[in-house]
Amino acid sequence: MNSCADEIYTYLVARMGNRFDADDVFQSTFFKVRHFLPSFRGDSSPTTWVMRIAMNEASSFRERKGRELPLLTPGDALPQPGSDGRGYDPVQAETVQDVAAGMRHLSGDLRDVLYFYYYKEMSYEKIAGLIGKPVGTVKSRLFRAKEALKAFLEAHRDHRIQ
Amino acid sequence: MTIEYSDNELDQLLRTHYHAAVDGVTVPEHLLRQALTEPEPQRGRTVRWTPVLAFALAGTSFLIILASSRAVEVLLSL
Repeated sequence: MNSCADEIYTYLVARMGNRFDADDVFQSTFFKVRHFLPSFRGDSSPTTWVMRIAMNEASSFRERKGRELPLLTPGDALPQPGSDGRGYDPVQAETVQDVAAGMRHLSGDLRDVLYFYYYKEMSYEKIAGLIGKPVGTVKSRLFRAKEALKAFLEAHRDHRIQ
Repeated sequence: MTIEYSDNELDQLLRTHYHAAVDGVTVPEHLLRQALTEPEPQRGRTVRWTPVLAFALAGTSFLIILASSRAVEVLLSL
C-alpha cells in the first residue's frame, strides 16, 4: 500500500508543482478510492486505477484553483555541490530552475506525459494505456510540451543575457 | 543572441529536473493515515441544501419586511 501511495504522491508533487496542493489532491484521491473501491473490477492494476483517479482529481483541482506555487524554490531541491565542490554545475542548476518555471506554463495534460516519459521512463504505449489516448496523442503531446519548454528556456536565457 | 536547445540537452534537463524535484519523495505518514481513515467531508450534502436554505432565508426576510411595513401602515392610520 505504501509504495502505491508513494508513487501517487510523487506524481502529485510533480504535477501540482508544490506539496500544499499535492497534499489536498492526495487526500481527495484516496477519499474517491475508498468510495469507489467496491466498484473496482480489476481491469487494470490497482496502482494504475488509483493513478487515473489522481490524474482526474489533479485536473479538477487545477480548474477549481488557479493558483500555482513553484515546485523549486531557490536553494531548495536543486543539484547541490558536494563537499569538494565537484558534481555541481551552476549553469545547469540555473537552467533546471528555469525548467521548473517553464513547467508552470504547461497544461496538466502536457505535464503528465513529460512526467511519465522522462521520470517514470514509460513507453509511449504504456503512457497511452494509462491516459486512455492513442499513441499518436502521446507523441504529439510530448512534442508540444518540449517545443513550449524550449521556447520558454530560449526566451528566458535571451532575456538574462541582455 | 539566441541559444537553441537541442533535443538531447532538453531531455537531459528534464531528467535532471525531475530527479532534483521528486527523487526520494514519500507520502507523509500523517497524510496517509488521514486519507485512509478519516471520513470523507460531506461536501455534497452541504452543497445540495445550500440553495434551499438560501431560498428559505430570502422568503423569511421578505415576510418580515412585508409584516413590518403593514405594521407601520396600521400605526400611521391610527
